[in-house]
Order: sequence, then structure tokens, then C-alpha cells
Amino acid sequence: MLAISLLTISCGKKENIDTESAAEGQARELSAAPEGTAVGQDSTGVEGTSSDANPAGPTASFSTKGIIGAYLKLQDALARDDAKGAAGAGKMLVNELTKIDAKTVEDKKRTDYLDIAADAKEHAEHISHNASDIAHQREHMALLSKDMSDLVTAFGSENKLYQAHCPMYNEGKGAIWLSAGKDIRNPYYGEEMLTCGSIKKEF
Amino acid sequence: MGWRPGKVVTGMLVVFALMQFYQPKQGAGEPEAQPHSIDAVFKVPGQVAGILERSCYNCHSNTTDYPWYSYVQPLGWWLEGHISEGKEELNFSTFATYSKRRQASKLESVAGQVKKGSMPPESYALVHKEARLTKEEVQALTQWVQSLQDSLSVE
Repeated sequence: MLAISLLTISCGKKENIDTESAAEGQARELSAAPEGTAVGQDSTGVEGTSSDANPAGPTASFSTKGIIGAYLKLQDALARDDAKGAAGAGKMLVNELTKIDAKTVEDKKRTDYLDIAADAKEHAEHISHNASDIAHQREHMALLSKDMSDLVTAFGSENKLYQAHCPMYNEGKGAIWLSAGKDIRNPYYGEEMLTCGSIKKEF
Repeated sequence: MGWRPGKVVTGMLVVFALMQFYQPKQGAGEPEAQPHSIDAVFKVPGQVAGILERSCYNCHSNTTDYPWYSYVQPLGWWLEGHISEGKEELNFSTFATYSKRRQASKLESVAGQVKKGSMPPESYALVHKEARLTKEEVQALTQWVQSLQDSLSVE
């Protein structure tokens, strides 16, 4: 029941592919729980087949949209020097990453995805736990942005994205970030040097 | 009857004594068996190895050198909590099991934290004076990380 209502709710939204896949993932998890508890009931068989019937392979429904959406919110918050907002967006990103069922990623690229996702999640967690330390959030942002760049390179993005580069960050080692537009809004320095950096790449 | 401070103290002593029966499992491993330690994937020069061992490994490896007070509860519980948190974040004893990406991430964080002076944490360095890093040691560590990053070729 819960699973069905979840599905219908998400279908009602205008976001299509990725929300559906996420809901499917949740639905599977939700249906798995009562399955375990309702031992001996007829429903177990039905539930089993329904989750088996979920196509575990071809291109089905994996999308980077949710991840990128949360990341861009984070990028925006850091550019506004908003550590609390960044922490919130970091939490969102953790949720998006948790929601994705790696089975929906095509076989060949799954290891890559899991590698990127595990690292990204760790950075997002740190960002979400450091609402009072924006400098630390930015350190993780630099590493996270690398992950995001690799993610988009491997799996694409539904919306146009740009890769910007800030040459100053980290004592001149530089750092990249992804942005939805061509305008430079530097997440590493915020107000201090908002327009420092340049677009290096288009996805 | 009435207020008997003696009873309260006795009660507290009994609770304290009982606490000692619950000794947390300490995660110290045998230093000789470390097949997945950082040395398995990277060259760790002597100076750096010394710094890591002295200043990092108590919380970031399976070769914790437990102090005597770790056997006094509840201090030991509190300590063990910190250590397992530290190891979850970064464990040099299992470093080789991390993916290349994660290794690069961790190294970058090591350099960042050490440079900023966030690691080793002040509260720890207060008690463990030997863990403090000199400027030269910080430089040795960050240069080592830099050389590894170059070799990892992740930008």
C-alpha cells in the first residue's frame, strides 16, 4: 500500500525519470520490510516476485539529476557564505546518494559509480556536520567537486553544466566546481572574491 | 535518619567499582600483521613514518598504544568512542583497502587538517605533548602527501 501510494505521488510530480527510480528503490525497501515480518503469509510470494521483476539492468532509470540538484544548491550556499544552508544542502546530497539504487546503474559502470558515490557521500556528510565551519566545508567542497565532475563525465547530466576553476584556492593548488550557468560565483571564497575564476569546460 | 553524605559517597564508589567490570574491547591489533596498511600502497619515508606513528596512529590505526587510564572507566569508554570515530574517518592500517579516489581524498584531508593545525586535535595534544607537530614536521607531511598525489595522478 505504502509503496503504491509513494509511486503515485511521485508520478504526479513533474520531475520524471529520477524521482520514479528513487521511489522504486524506496518501494522495494519498504516492501522488503513487511516481507520479513509477515512470515508464513501468502503475500510473501507475491512480494518476492514483484521485487525480482524489477529490471536490474538496462539503462532503466539511473539519473544524476537529484545528485546534481543538491550539489548545485550546496555550491550556491557556499558562494553566499551560508554555512547553514551548505550544511542543509549537504544533507540533501547525502539523501540523494542514499536513495539511488546502484542496481539501476549499467553493469560496466557500476564500480565507477559506487566509487564516486561513496567518496561524494563522505564529503557531503562532512559538509552537513560542519554548519559552523565554512572553511572546512569548503575543503570538502573541493574534493566533492572533483567527484561531481567525474560523475557527470561518466554519466552525463540532464541540464547543461559548466566546470569552473579557481586558481587560488588551497594555496594556489586550485580547485574546480560545477555550475549551472556561465557566470562565476566562487564557492571557495564567497563574497570575498565572488567572481574569481573562469569557466574551463562545458558538459 | 536524614541526609547521610557518607552513604552517597559509598554509593558512588560502588557504581564506580561496578563500572570497572565493563572493559570495552580495545581495538589494538598486532603491529606486525598489517597487510593493508598504508605502507602496502605507498612509500612512507622514515621521517614521515615516525611522525604518523607518534602523532596519528593512536586514533587512526589499529596499533593504538592504550594509556593506563584507558582501563579506568568511564574514561576508557569515552576514549574508545573517540578512537573508533577516528578510525572510521581514517585508518592507516586499512588504507590499502580504500579505493584510489578515497585514498586521494583522505591524503588531501590529512594535509589540510595538519596544515590548519586541526590535527592532532588540541584536546589530545594537551595530554599527549609528544603528538604535537613542529613546523618542519608539518612541512614534511604535506610534501609527502603532495608527492603521493602527483603519483596518484588524480589531477
